[in-house]
Amino acid sequence: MTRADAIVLALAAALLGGLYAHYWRAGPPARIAEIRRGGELVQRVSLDHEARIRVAGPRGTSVLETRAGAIRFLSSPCPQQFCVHSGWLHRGGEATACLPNHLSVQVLGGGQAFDAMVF
Amino acid sequence: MPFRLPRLALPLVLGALLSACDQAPQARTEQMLAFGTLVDITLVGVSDKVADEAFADARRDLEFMHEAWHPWKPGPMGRTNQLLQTGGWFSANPSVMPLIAPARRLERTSRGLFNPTLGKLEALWGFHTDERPEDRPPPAPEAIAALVKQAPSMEDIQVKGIRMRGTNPAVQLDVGGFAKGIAIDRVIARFRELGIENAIVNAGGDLRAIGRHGERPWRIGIRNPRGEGVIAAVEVSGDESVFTSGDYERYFIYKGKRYHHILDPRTGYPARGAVSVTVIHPDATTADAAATALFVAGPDQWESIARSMGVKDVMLVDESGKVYMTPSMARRVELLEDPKPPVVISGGGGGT
Amino acid sequence: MELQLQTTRDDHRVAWLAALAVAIHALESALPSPLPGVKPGLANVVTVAVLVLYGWRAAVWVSLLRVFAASLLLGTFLSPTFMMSLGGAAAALAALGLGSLLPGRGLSALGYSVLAAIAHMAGQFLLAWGLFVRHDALFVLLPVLMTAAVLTGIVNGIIAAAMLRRLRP
Repeated sequence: MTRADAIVLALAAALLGGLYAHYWRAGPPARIAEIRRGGELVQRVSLDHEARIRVAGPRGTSVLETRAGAIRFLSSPCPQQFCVHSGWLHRGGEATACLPNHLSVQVLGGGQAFDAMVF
Repeated sequence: MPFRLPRLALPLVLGALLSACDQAPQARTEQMLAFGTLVDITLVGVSDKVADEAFADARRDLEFMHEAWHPWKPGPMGRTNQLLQTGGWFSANPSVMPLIAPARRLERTSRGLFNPTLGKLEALWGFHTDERPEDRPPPAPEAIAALVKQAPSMEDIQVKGIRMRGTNPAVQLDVGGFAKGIAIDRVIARFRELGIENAIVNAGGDLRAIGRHGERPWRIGIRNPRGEGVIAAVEVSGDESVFTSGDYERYFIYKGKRYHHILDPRTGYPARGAVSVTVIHPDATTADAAATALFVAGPDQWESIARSMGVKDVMLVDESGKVYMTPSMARRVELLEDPKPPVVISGGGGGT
Repeated sequence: MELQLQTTRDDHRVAWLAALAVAIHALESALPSPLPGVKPGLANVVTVAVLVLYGWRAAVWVSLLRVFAASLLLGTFLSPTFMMSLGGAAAALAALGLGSLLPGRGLSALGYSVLAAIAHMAGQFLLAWGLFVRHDALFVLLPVLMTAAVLTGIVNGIIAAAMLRRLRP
């Protein structure tokens, strides 16, 4: 191992430390999300692979999408589309809902950044 | 090695270190369909028996209040509104009576910007239906002006003992601007009766939190009114309500223009200027009414109305994305948007 | 007239190393990853060995050969996976090129490997973010991915050093 090697290793360690400190401030990435209808648990989904989930509610079918540790409403049969506009949920505790369709999504694990969402 | 550690030392040290990790307290959360929305209730440090009773009571009480105070579906509020039209004295409905005093007080302290007597105006705009047809245009300016001229207000409701009468035919109670707040206050009061000291009641994105989450305060995320993601995070503890009023909650779009349901009593039209207002205040009733009133007040007037209502923590987002905050709110809120939006810190009633 | 190509021992060796790289690349593609297409870069053990033995240009050739040949072999030619492989290889080669310019004793196989691994992961991650996923939530995965890359870089470095010791007595 040369001196230059040692410097590279030291820089690598510093880089890793910095990355964890910066991007894991709110905890490690979330693992699963819970989808509920009218308060009842409909499905638990793992967030570490790509998937499309169709959930039926009183107003029709909402479609959710998971990818790379996050989940979002892709489409929903509601007039205001607040759920879709919420975008990707990835922090532990982050949640959104399609109130007209009685559906809610919440991300679990990953350090519980939030106990509740206000909107 | 100068000395040998006993073999037990390593597991003991590891055990000690692990026990220092954040031990999450026992939390029970339930989500229910109530009060016309999804209600999330979290209880901490409570036995299963008490938690089950609390959830059941909350569900029942919320449903009762929702039906009793519904602005247009048949029920106690509907009957009260009919009797108010007659101009004569009538026996006040026991479900509606408790709303009158707080409504009057809040209308006064908000200088009329919170006005729970605009039922006729809301109906005129079509917000008194579950489903407003897409192609229904906004009401004619003359109709709006006529109602605004009649100036309905809580002053037009007289109360004597248990009897009530209305002195202005334009008055129709619509307590949507603070009903959720009162309902949440009732639920929290019931929880306190049951001996529960740490809880959050979150009704469709507006909440009141008491106590803490075990060793740490409750962590609340505030959604971005326009785009995706979370705009801010705040910690609450003790006894605090966090309410948001926004132009995205109930609206319709006609010919490309958006008309939302928070009407300005002075003009009869949807209030302009603000996109969302978040208020933190101990009781939910005031927080709810203040969020509504300050939304109507907009970026120009919110400071003085916040002062007159005695509300210290306010965050207002205007149409350009600029964020206005009181100094007290700025101290406790963490803005999460990247890049940071422009922030104006001003107002704030009392305290440094 | 019969054409006979004169191949040297070095040519044989480079060809053998390139084939090894393709094999490693193919095997690595079977590994699961939280972010599709993003891999720690096991094949860079060959890139570094070729760099030390035959210089940067040779390393570039072998790397590009590896990426193209492996993608044809796996049927991913011109697919997003191919883009990611190419991006990672390009970033690693750029870093190695800069690293080889260091004065004095410079870097050994270990230092080169770690450097290449970090650049490889950074390149692939940014490509994944820019081209495919584009939401900031993705960055939560970066610390873990980069850790895997650095560890792979260290292991690769040790293996490459061992290989080099045998290949040039």
